[in-house]
Amino acid sequence: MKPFLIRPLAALFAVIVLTAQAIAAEPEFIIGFPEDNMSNVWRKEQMNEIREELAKHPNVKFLMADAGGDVAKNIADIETMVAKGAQLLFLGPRNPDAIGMVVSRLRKQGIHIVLLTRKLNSEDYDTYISPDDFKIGYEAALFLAKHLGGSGQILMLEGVQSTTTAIQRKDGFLSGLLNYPNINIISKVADYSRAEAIRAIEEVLLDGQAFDAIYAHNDDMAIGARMALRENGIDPGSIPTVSIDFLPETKVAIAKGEQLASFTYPTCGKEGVAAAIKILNGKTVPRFIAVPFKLITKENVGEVEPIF
Amino acid sequence: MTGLKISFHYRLLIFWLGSVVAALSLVGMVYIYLQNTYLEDISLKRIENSFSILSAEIEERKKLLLTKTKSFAENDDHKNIIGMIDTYQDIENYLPQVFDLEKKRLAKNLASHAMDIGFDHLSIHDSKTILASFFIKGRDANVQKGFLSFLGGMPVFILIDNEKKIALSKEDILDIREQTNISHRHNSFSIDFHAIRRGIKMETLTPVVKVFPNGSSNTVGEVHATFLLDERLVKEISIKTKTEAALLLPNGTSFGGLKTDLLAPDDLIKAPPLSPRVDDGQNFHRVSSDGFEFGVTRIALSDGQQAYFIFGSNKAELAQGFTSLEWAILAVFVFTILVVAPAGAYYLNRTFTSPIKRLMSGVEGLRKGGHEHLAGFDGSDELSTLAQSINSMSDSIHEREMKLRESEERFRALADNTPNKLHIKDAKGRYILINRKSEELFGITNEEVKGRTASDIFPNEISEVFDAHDHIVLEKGEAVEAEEEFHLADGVHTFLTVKFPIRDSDGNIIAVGASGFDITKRKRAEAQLIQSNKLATLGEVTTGIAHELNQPLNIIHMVAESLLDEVEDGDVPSNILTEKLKRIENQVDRASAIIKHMRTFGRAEPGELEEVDLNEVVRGTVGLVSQQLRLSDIDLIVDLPETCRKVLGQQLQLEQVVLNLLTNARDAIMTNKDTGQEVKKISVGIVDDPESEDVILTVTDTGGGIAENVIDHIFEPFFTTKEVGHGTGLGLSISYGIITEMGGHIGANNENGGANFTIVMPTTNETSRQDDA
Repeated sequence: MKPFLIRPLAALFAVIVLTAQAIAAEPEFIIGFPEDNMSNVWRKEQMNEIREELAKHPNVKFLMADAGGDVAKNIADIETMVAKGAQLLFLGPRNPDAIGMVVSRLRKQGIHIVLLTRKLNSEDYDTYISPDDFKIGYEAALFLAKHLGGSGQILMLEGVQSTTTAIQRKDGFLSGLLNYPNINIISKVADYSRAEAIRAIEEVLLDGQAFDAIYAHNDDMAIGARMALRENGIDPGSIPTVSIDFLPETKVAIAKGEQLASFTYPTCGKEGVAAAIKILNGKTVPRFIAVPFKLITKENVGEVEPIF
Repeated sequence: MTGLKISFHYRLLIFWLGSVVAALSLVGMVYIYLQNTYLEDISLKRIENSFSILSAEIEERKKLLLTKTKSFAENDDHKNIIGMIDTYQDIENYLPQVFDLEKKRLAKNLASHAMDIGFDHLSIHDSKTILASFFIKGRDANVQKGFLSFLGGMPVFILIDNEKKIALSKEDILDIREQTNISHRHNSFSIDFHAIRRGIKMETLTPVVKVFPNGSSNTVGEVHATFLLDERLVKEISIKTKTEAALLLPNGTSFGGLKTDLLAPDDLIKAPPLSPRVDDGQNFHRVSSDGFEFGVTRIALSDGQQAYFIFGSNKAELAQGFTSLEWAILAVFVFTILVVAPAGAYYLNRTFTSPIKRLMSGVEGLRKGGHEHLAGFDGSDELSTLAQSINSMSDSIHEREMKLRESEERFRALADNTPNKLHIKDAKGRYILINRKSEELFGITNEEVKGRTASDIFPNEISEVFDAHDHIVLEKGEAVEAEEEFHLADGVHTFLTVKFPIRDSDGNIIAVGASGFDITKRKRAEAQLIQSNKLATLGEVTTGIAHELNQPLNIIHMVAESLLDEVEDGDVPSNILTEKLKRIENQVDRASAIIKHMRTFGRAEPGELEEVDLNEVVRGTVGLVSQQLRLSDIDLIVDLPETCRKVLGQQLQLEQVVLNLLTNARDAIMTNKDTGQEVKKISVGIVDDPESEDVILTVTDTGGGIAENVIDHIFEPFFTTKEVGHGTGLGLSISYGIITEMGGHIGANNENGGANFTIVMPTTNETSRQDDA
């Protein structure tokens, strides 16, 4: 055989073999989700949704871990999954700097990153899937401002400060209030946690600061706030509250009139899995996939079911 | 009592003198011992003790270093954090928002771990020996925890308590650098010693190893822990052991204050390595100088150089302390011996001897019968308790005495007012007591007889009676009843007397009591009654006797008449005459027999007991009543044995009894003749069974029997069921008395529609023959 023929033949042969393999069996994939903190019910549900969605793909092996809010543990979980051969990771980073530094290394090793609802400070990811937190914050501001008649004091309960969700929900809200100079904001960080929210409310009440409404970055904090208010003899229905996630407990509270409104906040599990399968199969996906959300008030509370 | 007092005081004096001698010798001995060897011994002991403590401290710290750093290094959280730092930390592009946060967490954990254990320093480094977080105990025991951050590629210590990045002094920074420094590498899990500015640090390095899912492992860092052997440690020990101390480093720096000028270089060379207490010899090199003892040991550092521990004891200072101690001891002894001991003796005397004396005289008074309370014992001490017990004992003795006296009074009243004569004699027959009745009867007083015997007081004939039966009571322990007769001035007195034993609480007989009832009058009345009853019975039977006599008289009359007729008619053949006269003679004999019998029956004198044939008794009695019964149409059946053994009694009295029974039987039949009883029959019988010791005489009638409600009373005097005027009510009671007196007995029961009387008489075994029916 002539040398110039060898290369194209070999290439052809290789293509044939690979195609045959592809036909014979779908390629095996390993996907990992090192969850930041599953004691948060929304994040737990996010994990469940991804697991259920991935169950439809028998060729995918799924690895799970829960760091319990500990960044170092989260990083160790990521490294462990990579050592086990994970090709794609879902991430919802608590500390975008720390995870970002890890992710940039992983990307160099060819590992795919799908960010769910929380963003990184770098561009080291394949796609970012989320409802638009800025937009939610913005709409929440307009809704509350209208409800208060354009003036009043709003207590904002912030989520984990380093997360992009908390940053965007805060920025969007503040942008929405730019046109309402008579509305003031008191801000307290409660780390997306019920217990922290209770403590924050106690502090505010102890300081003697008055507020007419509450904007909580998630439902959990709104629930904690209600508990603290009740404990201090304040009717939660008298303080209009808007939060995000639309948990089953929130649905009941809206129906009873104890909460004014909540935004649905899909976990993006379904969308995430769809994107991941595409990426692993070599297809391109958009850098940002926006997932629609919905404002739930007393008017439509009966029509929408919470996501978990 | 005086003897005891002298002896007690004497003993106290001896004891005091003895203690004076003993105490003085003891003081002397202690003084000599202190002067000679004690100071040296105590100095060496203290030095040895210091090295032992130091050695034990170091061993303890070694153990802590090896075990406790390991547990920190194996914690998963710590592994994750140092692993992340090890992998991602880039000093040139340092991310404080990532690494400072994690190092802060690590520093907090280090501090709490180190403080729990007591480490002087605990730090963690990554695998490139770059320090991450640390904890150190500062110079003034102030605690510093923090971490190493980087600012534009330059290292910066950050303390997490103040968070101000430039607040550390140069000295602090030097300390941190020195203590956390691991540039001089050594084996993991070993203990190394290094001289630093503040002393010697003993340290260990423990690797932090991360294991991956594929089984590979990676050392991501090292935990570094330190204990300091410094001035503080040697000073603590020297205070504990009352020594002075120094720590000497290779560069000549010395800590601890003990002056080491007196030590020659040679002393350092001779110093042995630090070791625990040894059994033979010292665990240090000894250096003696004027008034001072030193001990030196060394410790090998990791760089091959030596550091030295020195403990010293100042003998002169010790001696000074002891001199004042000696005087103090002497003063205490003198004070004790001269002041406290005599005062103690005086106090003992006051507290014990005199109260005991008072107690003794009180008890003596009690013994003599007084019941005065012991006064002045109101306290709660033992003597007062004893005195109070004696008082309450005295009370109860008094109370018992009173009760005894009352009981005696009751007894005396009872004894003096009973109609009986009473006396009590002891086992030897001496009178203990007689009652008033006895006094009156015998004309003597209780006081006169007390302690004397009957024979001492009374004439023989009386004293014999008094003493009779006493021996039976004493020997058999049983009560004895007997009749006693006393020949007194106013005549013979009969007493029914019971003599009985009196026992002590153990049951031994200690006395004999006697109670006698004067039955003289009764006796006389009884005798009279028997007599009158006899007369009454005689009256009863007179009619019968008349009949009995009438019969022979009639026969005599008839024979005489026919004889007279024949004489008038002519010659009377002699044979007829003889025959007729014989018949008269017979009839006269018969009549005279009846009269003779009657005469004897009416005699009153009871007379002596004699052998009596009951057959004859029955026959004689039946002779008296048979005619009478025939007239009353009553069958009399007499059933006598052929022979009958003799019984002891009096024939006439027995006849009287049988006659009484027969008369009663007749009366019963006659009284009840209309009650439908067909048969009128009286049976008299004797049973003499040779097997038995008794002879039994029965009298049975068909008179309807004795009513059940009276059968128990029929032998009582003056009890009668007969109509007024028909009986005296004495018959059966007298019969009872007669039979009982003869040693037999009489009983009654109902049988076949009539009464059945049974007399049982003991035999004498003399037999009589029944010669005629």
